Amino acid sequence: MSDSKKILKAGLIGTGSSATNIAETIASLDIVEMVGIADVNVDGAKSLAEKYNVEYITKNYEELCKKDNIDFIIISTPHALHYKMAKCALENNKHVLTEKPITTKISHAEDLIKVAREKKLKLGVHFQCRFFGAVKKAEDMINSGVLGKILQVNVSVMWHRPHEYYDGSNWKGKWDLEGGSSLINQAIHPLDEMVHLVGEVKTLFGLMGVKYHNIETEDNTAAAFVFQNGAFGTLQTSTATKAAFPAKLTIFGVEGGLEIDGNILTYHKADGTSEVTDFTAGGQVGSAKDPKLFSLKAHSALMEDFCDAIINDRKPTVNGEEGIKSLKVVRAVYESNGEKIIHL
Amino acid sequence: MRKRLKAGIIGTGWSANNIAKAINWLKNVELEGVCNHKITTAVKFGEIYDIPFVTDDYKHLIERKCIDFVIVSLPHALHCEVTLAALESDKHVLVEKPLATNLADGNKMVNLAKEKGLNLGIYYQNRFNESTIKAKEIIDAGILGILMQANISVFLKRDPPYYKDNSWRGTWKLEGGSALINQAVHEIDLLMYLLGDIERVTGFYGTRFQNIETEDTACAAFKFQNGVFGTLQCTTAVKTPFPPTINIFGTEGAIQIQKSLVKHIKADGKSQTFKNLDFNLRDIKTAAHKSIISDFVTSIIEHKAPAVPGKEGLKALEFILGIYKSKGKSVVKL
Repeated sequence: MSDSKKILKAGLIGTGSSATNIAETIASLDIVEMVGIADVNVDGAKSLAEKYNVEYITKNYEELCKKDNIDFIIISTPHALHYKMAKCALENNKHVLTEKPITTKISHAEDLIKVAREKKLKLGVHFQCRFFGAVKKAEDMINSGVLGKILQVNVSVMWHRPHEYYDGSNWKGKWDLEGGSSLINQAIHPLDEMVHLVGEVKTLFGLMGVKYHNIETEDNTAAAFVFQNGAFGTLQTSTATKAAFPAKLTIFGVEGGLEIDGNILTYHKADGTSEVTDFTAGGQVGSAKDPKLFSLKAHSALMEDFCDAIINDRKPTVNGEEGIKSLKVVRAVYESNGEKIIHL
Repeated sequence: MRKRLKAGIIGTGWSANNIAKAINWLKNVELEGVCNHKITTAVKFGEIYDIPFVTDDYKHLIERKCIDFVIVSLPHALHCEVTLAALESDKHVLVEKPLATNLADGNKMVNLAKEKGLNLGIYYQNRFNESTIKAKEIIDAGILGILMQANISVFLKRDPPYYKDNSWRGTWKLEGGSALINQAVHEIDLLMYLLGDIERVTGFYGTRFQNIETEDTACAAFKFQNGVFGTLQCTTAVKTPFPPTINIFGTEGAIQIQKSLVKHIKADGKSQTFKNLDFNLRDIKTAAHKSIISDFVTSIIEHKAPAVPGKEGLKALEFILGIYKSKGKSVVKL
């Protein structure tokens, strides 16, 4: 950090579990402080503000975006609201850090990227897993050619969410608010790691459906695709299997393979042996059972990176152009819907 | 004492060795003849497995009166011609997988066997694995809940000489494809045996590493007629082989099949593993090879259909040809 005394001021929209993790992260950092919280549920805003000693609360996010003493807005609301809130913040000359997914529509994400570029503001997406030790190590290994030519990639997120997870939510399981389910919500982190580590997807065929939950979105998806670099891939997601498996990104090249399960990296070598490195020390790892447990160490790294991008006027590591990549895969599966081939 | 049948084996490659070992181990069948277009190779094979009749012309083998059935273990594209000729000579036929390299050939084989009242079997020996039987038992019992997803992964190591030293492999004309039609075909057959027919598929394939004209790597997404989603990945280009794996997920549990193992993961997160203690592809005194041949022999003796009749071989073939046709450009309805 070039100027460690410079303190940034953040405003937070939303008070759900992700927002609480972000508030906790900010409280632990010197570089940034939280000065305002907006939530339509004013009690939620009040209790989070009390816990983290935040002076300003409002139920109107536009009010928060207009406040002069705020440098950037963090958006942690139902997926489909990211767009209008991010746009409002950018129009009020605030940098924006939005939770994943960037938006629920490609056109919305492209518009945010464009507006941020025009107004010379930072747009970041909260894909904290890119800061996992396991992901960084995988990136180094792939870039140094240890795996050889990449052949096959797979994302598997076969999880279980009880019926109450959807029934008790006013936005989950709805196309106009969550914008999808198992794929856009649960599988988006390994999908982001995938496009980050292997590259963008070129052509895709996907299937989606509701097999178990009483929701209008999907609780099961499957897809096959080819990457721009010629590697092949498949994905499968579900929130409906009680036989939960660890969420996993698998990448196999001619010379070896990698499996990333949360912050644990398994390297399958050409000689048939395997090496497991656990990067979870000092933080918790995301688990299939508890969606709330994600390493706050990675949260801190992402937040510091975003603050540094503002201070030093550079692009955040996970900027809008990066954040849209996983959304493109998600939307391609939904548009394909078992009927057509999608060229991304 | 029960009848002892006489078998002829056409082809002497990798698979033929496993088959010959299995036959020599079985009591109700013996090897009467062997054919390879190179007579020296046929003679050598005949000596190893103690086979009385050796020829370089398969027609001589199928004309031999004392032979009850032949096993066709040849480059894929030759299965049809040789099978049809054997059926015409009134021999029952057990043909190696894949049934053929196109559906027209496959249908001709199935139809001729039916017309002649002869048995045509397809060599999907893995259907006889205890792991397959256990998996089918778990699925059919309905304890996995609503079936949702199935994934196949077949990552195998085939060194360049595997293709280089066998001129038919790696060619569209003779092998008719590679990683899918030769390697993944076993897991595809098992998955369709366990979950039923597939309704639509799109697949992608290419040659990433091997010096061949066919595919060494492929992937696909598909939907079964019962609504279950599936994905498939295969390659022959990894240096780190992985046990071929089939995962099947239901709302109440999952099973993972890895050759000889079946792991049943239950709704409470606990799992139970069933292991075939005697399963080993290299040791032929074992379940799968002897089971499929023994079943075929019994089917002839008892005048009934074999457990894996030729028409079953049309299913995986149609699916794989669907992937080749789709080529990432269209959704193929099966």
